[in-house]
Amino acid sequence: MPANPKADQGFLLALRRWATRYCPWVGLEGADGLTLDITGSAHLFGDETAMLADMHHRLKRAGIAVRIGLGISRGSAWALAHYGTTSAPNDMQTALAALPVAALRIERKTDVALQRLGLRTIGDLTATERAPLARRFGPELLLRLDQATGVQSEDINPLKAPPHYAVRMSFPEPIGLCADVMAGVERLLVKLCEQLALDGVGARTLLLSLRRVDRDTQEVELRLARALHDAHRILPLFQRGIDTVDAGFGIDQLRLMAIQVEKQPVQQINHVSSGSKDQFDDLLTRLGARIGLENIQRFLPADSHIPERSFIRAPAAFSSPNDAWTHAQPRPIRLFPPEPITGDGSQPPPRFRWRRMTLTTGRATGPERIAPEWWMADENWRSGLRDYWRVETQQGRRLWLFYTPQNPGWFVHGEFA
Amino acid sequence: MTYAELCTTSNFTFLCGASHPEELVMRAADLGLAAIAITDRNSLAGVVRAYSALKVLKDDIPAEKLPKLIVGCRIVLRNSSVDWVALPTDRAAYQRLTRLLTCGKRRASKGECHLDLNDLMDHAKGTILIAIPSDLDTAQRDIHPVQRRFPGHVFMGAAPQYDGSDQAYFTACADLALRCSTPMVAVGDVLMHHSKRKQLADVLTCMRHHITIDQIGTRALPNAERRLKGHVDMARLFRHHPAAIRRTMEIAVRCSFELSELSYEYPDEIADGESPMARLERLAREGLKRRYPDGASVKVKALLEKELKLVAKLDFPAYFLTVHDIVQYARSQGILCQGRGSAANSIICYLLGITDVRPETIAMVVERFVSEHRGEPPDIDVDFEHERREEVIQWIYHRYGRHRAGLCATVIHFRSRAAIKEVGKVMGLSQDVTARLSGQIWGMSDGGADPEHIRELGLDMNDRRLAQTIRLIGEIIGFPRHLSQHVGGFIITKGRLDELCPIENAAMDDRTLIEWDKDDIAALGILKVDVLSLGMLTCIRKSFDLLTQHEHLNLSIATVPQADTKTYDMLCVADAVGVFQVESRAQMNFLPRMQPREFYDLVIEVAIVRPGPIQGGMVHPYINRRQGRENVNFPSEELRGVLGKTLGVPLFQEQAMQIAVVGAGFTPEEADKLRRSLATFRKMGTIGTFRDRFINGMLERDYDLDFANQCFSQIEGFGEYGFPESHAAAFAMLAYVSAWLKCHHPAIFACALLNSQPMGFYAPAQIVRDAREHQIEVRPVCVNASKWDNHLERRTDGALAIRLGFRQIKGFREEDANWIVAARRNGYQDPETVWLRAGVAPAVLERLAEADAFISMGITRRDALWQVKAIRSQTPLPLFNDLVDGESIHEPEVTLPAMHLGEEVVEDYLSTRLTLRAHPMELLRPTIPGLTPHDQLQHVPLGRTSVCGLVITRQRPGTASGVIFLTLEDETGVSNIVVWAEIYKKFRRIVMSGRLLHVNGYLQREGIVVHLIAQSIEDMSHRLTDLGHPMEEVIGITRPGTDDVPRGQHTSARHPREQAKRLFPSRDFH
Amino acid sequence: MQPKPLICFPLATSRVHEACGANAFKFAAISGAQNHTRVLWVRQAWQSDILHPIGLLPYYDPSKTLLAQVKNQVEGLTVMEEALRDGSVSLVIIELDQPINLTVGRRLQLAAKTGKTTGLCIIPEGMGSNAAETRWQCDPMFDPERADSTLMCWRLIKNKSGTLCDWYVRWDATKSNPADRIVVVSPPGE
Repeated sequence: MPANPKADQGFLLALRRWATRYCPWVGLEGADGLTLDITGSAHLFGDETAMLADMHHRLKRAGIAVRIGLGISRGSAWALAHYGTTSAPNDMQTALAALPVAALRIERKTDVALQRLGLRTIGDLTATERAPLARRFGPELLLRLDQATGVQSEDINPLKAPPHYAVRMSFPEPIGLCADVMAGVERLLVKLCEQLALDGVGARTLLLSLRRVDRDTQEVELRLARALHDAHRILPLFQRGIDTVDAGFGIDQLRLMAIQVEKQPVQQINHVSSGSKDQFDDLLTRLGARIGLENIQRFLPADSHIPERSFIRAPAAFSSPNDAWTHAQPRPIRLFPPEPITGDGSQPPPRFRWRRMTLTTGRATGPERIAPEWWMADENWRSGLRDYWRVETQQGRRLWLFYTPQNPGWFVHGEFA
Repeated sequence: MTYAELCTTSNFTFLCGASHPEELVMRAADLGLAAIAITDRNSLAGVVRAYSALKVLKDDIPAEKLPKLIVGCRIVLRNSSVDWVALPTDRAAYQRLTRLLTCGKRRASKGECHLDLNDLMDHAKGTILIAIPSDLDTAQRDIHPVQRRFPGHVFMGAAPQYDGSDQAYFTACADLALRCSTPMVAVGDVLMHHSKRKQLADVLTCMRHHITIDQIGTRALPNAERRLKGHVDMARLFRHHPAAIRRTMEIAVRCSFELSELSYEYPDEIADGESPMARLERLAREGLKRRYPDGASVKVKALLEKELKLVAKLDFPAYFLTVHDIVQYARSQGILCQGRGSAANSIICYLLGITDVRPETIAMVVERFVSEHRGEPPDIDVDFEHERREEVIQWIYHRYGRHRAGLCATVIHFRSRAAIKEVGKVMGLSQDVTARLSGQIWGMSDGGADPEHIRELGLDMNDRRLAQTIRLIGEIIGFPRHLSQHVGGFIITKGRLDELCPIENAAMDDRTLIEWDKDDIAALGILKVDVLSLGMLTCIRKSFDLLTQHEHLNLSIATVPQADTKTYDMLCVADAVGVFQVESRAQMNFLPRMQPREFYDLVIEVAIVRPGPIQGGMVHPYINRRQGRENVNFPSEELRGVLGKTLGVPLFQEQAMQIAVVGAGFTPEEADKLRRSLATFRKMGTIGTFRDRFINGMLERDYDLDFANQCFSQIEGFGEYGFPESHAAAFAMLAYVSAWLKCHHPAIFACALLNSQPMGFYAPAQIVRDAREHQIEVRPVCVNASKWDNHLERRTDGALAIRLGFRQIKGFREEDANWIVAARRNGYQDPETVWLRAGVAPAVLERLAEADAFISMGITRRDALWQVKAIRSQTPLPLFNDLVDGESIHEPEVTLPAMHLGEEVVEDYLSTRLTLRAHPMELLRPTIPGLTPHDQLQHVPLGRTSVCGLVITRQRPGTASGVIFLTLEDETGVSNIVVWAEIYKKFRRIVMSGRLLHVNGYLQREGIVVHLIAQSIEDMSHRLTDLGHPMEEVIGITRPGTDDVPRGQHTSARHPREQAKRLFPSRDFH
Repeated sequence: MQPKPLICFPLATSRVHEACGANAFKFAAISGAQNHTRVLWVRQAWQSDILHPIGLLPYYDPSKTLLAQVKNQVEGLTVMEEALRDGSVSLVIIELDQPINLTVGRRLQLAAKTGKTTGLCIIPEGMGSNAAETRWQCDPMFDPERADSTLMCWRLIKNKSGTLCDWYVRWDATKSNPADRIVVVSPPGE
């Protein structure tokens, strides 16, 4: 299985939260470990041994293989976890002395140099004069040694929980009117937006949970065309969603959560242009609430010779306009799935029937030869390369025809404006 | 009426053109084009390929049916949007063009060319210029001045765009042509010879832009229309402009310059009014007296007269004189050198001292060295000591001037590994996959990715993208990637070199190279001298120096006693570590069977263990005949003359050609074409017709079909890998000299060998081991005795001992070594005095301590390390300069544990890559039961046997159908292991990356050669940690010369204990 | 004879208009080229043909078009109404495949008026709504004179506030002034 550092990290964070059951102070230890400061917590489980046994038991049941070291300091715990036995040793100094010097969290270079000098265990080191050691390996080595033996103290950095944006209100009497719900949402929004603004973020997706007296919960999700923390702009956008809520016998609690937030840089005050932009964004949000935000799209140029792939449609709310349109050859305004017509040979047919019309070629320009993008398997281009012709018919219609020489056949692919 | 294509880009416009020049020419011939111009971007690098291809085609197709080749290039200027196709009309114009390109290339960095419109104006007289505008609207501004400067020579190129607007575009071109007064001419602006190359063209585009295929977008070719087209297609496109087609023919006719006109004049450095021929004759006759003090035989004299006549006839005396001058210079500087190549073993070269191989000793046919009909120049390569070749090169530059002397280019081609890496990257394969794909490639290979391995890697060959990638990898192999400097191919001209060929800057400072490689040079009949470097010459020269110094013997290659029985005895038992050419595993296995007794046996030995003869299946017949197990017979009396000296088995390139002549009725010219078609033009696929001719010819002359087929497959094998006899003889000479030195002066030879490293097949560890097996004392590096080089010390019993030098210490600098020697006086007392007196940095002291070089002071390695680690500052404080015994700050006494043997051994490897103490296997053997030491393999009963040892070599010869040969070293010697493909499949990872292997298998003995046929292999590398040192990974590192295994695969097997340290060994819980 | 000048074009704002005929898309594109900063084009998602932005390029920058993909005509009309009323998109184009009733037509007009915007319905022939301000029949014409012709015939077949008329029109993308790009020409053959 390939390494997946991100997943490992995620798992470690989850484990960290779980570990706070043993003590409040849990810190990450490198990329693959946790440190727990159990000072004053061990007695809750009986004693240290019992606490360790509990940890082992629970983790084993969860199918997680861990190594645990219990030490008198962060350094010794690390050493024992990585190189020692897992049960709590009775004589800490003896246990430490037997461990290899690598257990001191020293650089590999120093580790190797010490071993080459025959100083292999922590015990060997403690038995050696300190001054000559410091002279050759610098103070770092002695610091690490002291941290392991507990002579030097060392902190654990407990992690801060990620910010969580949610507000809630309960009603003494259940409410049922839309206007009442909107009023409640307004008060929640103001509170929530204060939090958001304080952190310089805006909500991109909001979730409103409405708890009914019968304990059923209704939810309204609001996806915004762009990150916002303006209560008065967000509020009207909730209207449509709230209209669809079935209040049943009444609602006794509202909970509003920003489930997706984005950094929102402090905006420059420029009412002239941003006014229209804001209004347009709100329109997008409202239309998005109706037909889905991803169904309002904009055209972006794409780099391909294949007509269908020379542009993409991207959700307008999640993309920025790009007007770098360049194209040497004209393209139709409408593309159809290729519609076969009869024609012989590689020159455009002089007359052909298309959509129950008989058309006469008045003028044909081409061919423009386009080969399939060989590196991708495109079903539509299975018939091989195409010779495209712009055909102006006597009847007025201007069509885009192609011929497939590798699988002879003629098709109408589009109509020019 | 027909059409001439005047604008084609070949793959010598690197990463752009998608066809070889040869392919373009062949396709042009198929299409019946009247002419084709190869016009690469600011380069003439591909034109000679096209020229040579045309020459090959002429063998089958009458010349008038072949397209004419127009030499030219596409000039891309920095300050113009118009590209110019430049087609010189005559030699003078061609010379201006090469000077133009040289000018642009010399002012740019390697591989680039910076030209401006002014340069074009200065150099384009007599050259047809076709404007290829990129934007019709702005082109007029750039075209106008050129048209005014070269009236009648400037044309407007109209290239179809295939975008649906061609007719409108041609109309616009015609309009512009009218306004500029530059008649319109049709050009194809061709990128490939066939539409099937479109995919490769796109891949090349991606490489050029450093993108993947999914990012290529509109940079991809929209279609495959930029291929070479015939007259009908072009006429249809230009149906409204027929004159534009006609004009291609007019231009083609005007371009009268041909590459064959580059009749090349060799410099004739006339001395004192003496003509070259007279000087050559004089020198040869002087040589006759020197070489044959007792008078030469009639035969020799006749030979000389014949050769002199031939040289006079072909007018090559100046060439021999030039080589002679170079060799003379080298001799005058004491630089050892030796000539080889077809002409080098002529009597003239022997007499001029270019070679020391007596021409009588080999079966050289005199005409062979300069074949009249081939019109090819004689071929002399001169090898020089590798450490001193640069002196010779600088002398050549100095003597002839940089404007007349230049180095050939070497075209660097895509080979398997680069192809997989680069195509894989473009096609979006993960680095992991490309690494694994190329991780299967042993050594150098052109085979691409092997489908079987792809399946073994768990990749699905039905996957479209993967299948495409594999196919494209195969297609790009052989494509030129860039030009590099040839190792030593000098070309020296009489006139200006830059009028022969464009010259560009090499990557190395102060070096320039011409755009053509040695095959191109040969194809044009231009003479070149190969100034090559050879490590063995360095070693031999150093041996001679040591002989003079220690034994008062003055020897040279020519005066080493010949036909020495003891030397041949030594070779017969494969005691050949360090001996030139015969020291490899394969050679050492062959020597006892070959039983060489005379010089010519060595010539055969050198020639036979080569891919050519092995592939041709000649080894067994020859050895059987030699050992008398098979009758020596000849298929015919005529062939007896050809094959007599080699017992009826063809072994040399010349013999193969003669079989074609004598046996299959080829004329010498045809035989030579056959050789050429085998060597250079395999991609043109002309070999088939030769095969039929050859087989039929032999059948007609009553040879049986089997023999005919066998001969032909031998010829095929020779094409690429065979040795000419003269070549083999030159190498055999060095093999003999080195063997003689090893036999009679083993200490001197080993010492010289060590001082010439890196060279040869073995690492210093094996050389030292071999020396000690020959009862030579090898003394360790010592701060009070060693010099930079290894040197010899006379023992009290009169024998010589080798004292290892500081150069054996990894990371040691010669300058530091010299300071240590210079400041040594009566010796150093402790590490600190070395620091103070020699002024070396503390890191150097650490290197010395690690190498245990203080042991003579009674300081153990560990104590020395402890002491020098305390020395931290970079330079000694002036205050301590006068302290004789380096007393400094007092610090508490520390007693470190004693280093045990295992640790010492690892430390030795770490510092010097060799140990004089104990082989690691000696220490590990007691704990690994059931092993047979190497020296017992000769005596134990045949059957299942186990050996264990460090991997020394790991090879998979291309000739041996997937068999891997390993050699394992234990404390008693080196064992040969054969791993058949089946077994390899099972143990691949171990075989590829193990450093200490335990092999169980069956013994096979033939005479003194013993092989173990592996049945099972176990990786014991982790046992090296038992030596008790944290850096055991330094043991068992092989070197590229002896190990074909794909590099970067050495994942040291982790000890289970190590693995247990990982906290999250799996993520099963997800 | 000098051709009659074009009336009722550019389309009046605060109104909803209709276009039909084979060149209705082109009419829409030319409408989009008339000083609109944003164009919302409402299409039903199931339609198999696609709008090609590069085909729009000769008329206006396709980047200012927003495409609303709706499930059906009813949803499309709701989107149109909301967008017209909002006012931040100045032109809303919808492709219709069924006739709309008068009520819906009036609601659209009202929305356009509120938002001071322009609406354009591309309708099948003969399916017009009485509420429309103008209705245009647009047909391409073959032009024997010039290749890549843009000649077409515009018939104003409904006009709430004036007379009806026919024009022959060409689009000249090379002109820099947008107003000059619509060239009214004499009928072919005259």
